[in-house]
Amino acid sequence: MTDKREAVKKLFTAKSSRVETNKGDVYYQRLYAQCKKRIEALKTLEPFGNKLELQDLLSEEGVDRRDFMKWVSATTAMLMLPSFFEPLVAEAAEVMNRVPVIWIELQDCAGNSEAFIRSDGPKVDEIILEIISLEFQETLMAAAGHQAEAQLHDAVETFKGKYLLFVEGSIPTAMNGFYGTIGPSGETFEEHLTRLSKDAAAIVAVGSCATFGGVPAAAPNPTGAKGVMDIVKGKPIINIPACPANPANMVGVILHYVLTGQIPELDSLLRPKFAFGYRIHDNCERRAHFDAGEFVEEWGDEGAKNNFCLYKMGCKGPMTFNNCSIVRYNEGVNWPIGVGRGCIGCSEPDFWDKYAYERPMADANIKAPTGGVEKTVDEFGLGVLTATAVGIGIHAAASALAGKKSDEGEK
Amino acid sequence: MKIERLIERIEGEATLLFEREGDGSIRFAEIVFPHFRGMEKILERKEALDALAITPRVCGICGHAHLMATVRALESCYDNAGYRVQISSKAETIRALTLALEMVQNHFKWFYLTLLPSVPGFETNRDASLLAVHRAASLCAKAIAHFAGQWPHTSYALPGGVMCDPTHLELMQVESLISRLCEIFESTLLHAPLETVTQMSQVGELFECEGDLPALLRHFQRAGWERFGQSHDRFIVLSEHLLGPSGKALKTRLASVDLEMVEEGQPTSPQGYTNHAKPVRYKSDLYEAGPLARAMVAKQPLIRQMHRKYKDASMTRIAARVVEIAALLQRCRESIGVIDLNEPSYIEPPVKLSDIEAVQGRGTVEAARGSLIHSLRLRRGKILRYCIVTPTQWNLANGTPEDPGVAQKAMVGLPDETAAEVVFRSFDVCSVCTTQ
Ligand code: SF4
Ligand code: SF4
Repeated sequence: MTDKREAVKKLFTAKSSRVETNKGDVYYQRLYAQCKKRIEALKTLEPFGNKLELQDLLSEEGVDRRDFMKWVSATTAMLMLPSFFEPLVAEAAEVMNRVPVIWIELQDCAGNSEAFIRSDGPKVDEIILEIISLEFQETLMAAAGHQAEAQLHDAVETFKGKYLLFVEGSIPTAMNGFYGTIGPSGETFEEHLTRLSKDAAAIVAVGSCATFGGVPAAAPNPTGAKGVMDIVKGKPIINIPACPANPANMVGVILHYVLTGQIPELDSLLRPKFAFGYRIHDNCERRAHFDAGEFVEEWGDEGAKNNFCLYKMGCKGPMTFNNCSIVRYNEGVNWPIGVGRGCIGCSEPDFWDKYAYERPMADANIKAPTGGVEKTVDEFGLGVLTATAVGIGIHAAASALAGKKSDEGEK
Repeated sequence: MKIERLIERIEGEATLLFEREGDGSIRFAEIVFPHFRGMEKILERKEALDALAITPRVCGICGHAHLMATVRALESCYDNAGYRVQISSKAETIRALTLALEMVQNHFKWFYLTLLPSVPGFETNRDASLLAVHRAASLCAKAIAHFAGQWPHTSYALPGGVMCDPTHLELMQVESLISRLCEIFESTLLHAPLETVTQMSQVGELFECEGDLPALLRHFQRAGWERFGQSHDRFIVLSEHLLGPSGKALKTRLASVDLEMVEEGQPTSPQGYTNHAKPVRYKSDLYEAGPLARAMVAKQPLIRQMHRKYKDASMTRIAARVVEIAALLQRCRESIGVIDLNEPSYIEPPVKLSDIEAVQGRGTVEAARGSLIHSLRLRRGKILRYCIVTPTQWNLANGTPEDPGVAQKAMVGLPDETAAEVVFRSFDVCSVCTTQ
């Protein structure tokens, strides 16, 4: 048993090829100039539909400049940009309503919409909602029924090629799509998604269902549920898995797009590296106990009372790439490990079948996700517990910008 | 003549198919839900405790209620196998508190995001109320997260208790979040102290108050809608809850309920549409579930009086849901004070579920929209069968023109589709849950 634990520990603390955190001054200077230009251009545009201005809303809400700047600096750090980008991030937040967003719900539980409408910031949950140009969202918008269909049609026409398509929920493919159809026309989810993807600038798959099929795709996958990337081809797709996806990451993706006009740098599973470049375990508040070999052995035992590591209770943090240990949930209030429940690995592909079981991974016979655990960032593990600290700790962090596109620009 | 109307904004989607009379009024309405995920099938063959993480994902809006139903179902398995699962009163209180907060946030959102936008001619400051409702929902979620780690999709409870071990500091933080929720209630929905609201017994008093609820009720009255939405006048509450007992009410006559009498049928669509919502009955009768049912069974004075005047009209239904917020918040405030931090959060059950050869169990819970039932069969800790009956199934079961379902009956005879839509929404429909 001890041997086994030692082996596991060695695996999880091995030196790793880290997320590239500093791309050099030249790179960031050029990126800065490019973003500056983009924001200037966006400023000259009229906000779509939504005419509310962020600053007005902030002051109306009693959020002062200092609180807002705190949010800005945390967000800049989260996006892995050097701190001199902060003024730009602040400006980008102000022009977020120049980028149209269409949000559709497929085979879902509405959990991500729920999570999103309370995304965090300087009470930014309310404010971001007011400021972004959500051109179509079933749960939130005023129109319903045929009126809503018309509105969706208009939004697609007006913003052809420009809108970000957010997709929540998986796509049932069994029995010719019988398990998910829309309205009287009987259009299947798959047809609906394909049609709306055609004119999108990029597609953002939100939540484990939309990314990798999620719980509906768990064995025996009765409806043949699939993720967006299994259906849509030839379009940029950004995956924001987790169940529910962290609203901070959704806002991060929009903000990044507003800022740079490009999609963030992605890993091989199309997840933005700024959010999924490291593991839960790397920044877990219980990590010191893991390293010290102090584990909760049974629910409610002394270890549980003393916040020991949950690995033996089935925590999948060591195999799960996500930033919840830093960003946490519900405006930073807490996260599952905070209340003594292990991570269930919800941001990994096939998470249910491979990860979620109530047993430690050492006994679960599962393989590390792409690239292997041993190949991941590990060095900023201990002691670095907040987003800001990450910003400082790794100063110019891995750029969120899609390296390729800007590299092309350099040549 | 048939008219199709798509209803969105109800956490998913439903389609209403109207048959109309010559004058345009509603002769019959069929309700269909075209989505399905197969959650019951997915649960089969999994470990019993896995259900604690799967069932909250049935619904992003009332996931905590699903968690509670699962926990109770597993605890009843122990009971049925002859073992007693002990739960500290601290764990009980925390469970009840987080459940109540989930209901509060649901009711806020239902009123402002689902119901109000469908009411024609009712003027409120939409921007202001949007901000208020998001603030309220986010306060609820934060308060829940203090105990449950996150919301939506928490899995922090398990047979024997809860996983969290809150400190005094956290209790104080939750208390302050609850006070802010009370303030939002008192400055938006009903401009009166919570205590006044819960002690009101005269409809007149309610109508004279300020706030978005009384304004909406007056609006209904002016429009001549006060009797719209009457249905079978039969109510059901399958489980005890924070505000009252279980039971059923036929008009105002109360009786107890027996879960054995609940029957789930197959989804129908006489007109051949794809429908995945299974109907459910109690002893072959249709019953309404939800806040109005809870108020009727608990003999809530104000709602009972309103019922005497307007029967089970949408107006009564709406008032019942909003008044329930006040009662829940009041109970939340009291609960915080009685939590004894020295008690254990979790008491280990005497055996593991995998040590029990074969057993079945059932858990019921009152969720925001009404009674939720989870039933399961286990063999050596593995799930053989799992069955979920959700609140909206009670209210939206499709019947026939001769024997219409609860929401169907409520829509018959209304002058037009717009009125029918408001009545439909007064039930706080949820399609993700209904079809699982
Ligand atoms: S990813 Fe999770 S929150 Fe999202 S739809 Fe799926 S189960 Fe619900
Ligand atoms: S609780 Fe989980 S993520 Fe945290 S240190 Fe332990 S194994 Fe790692």
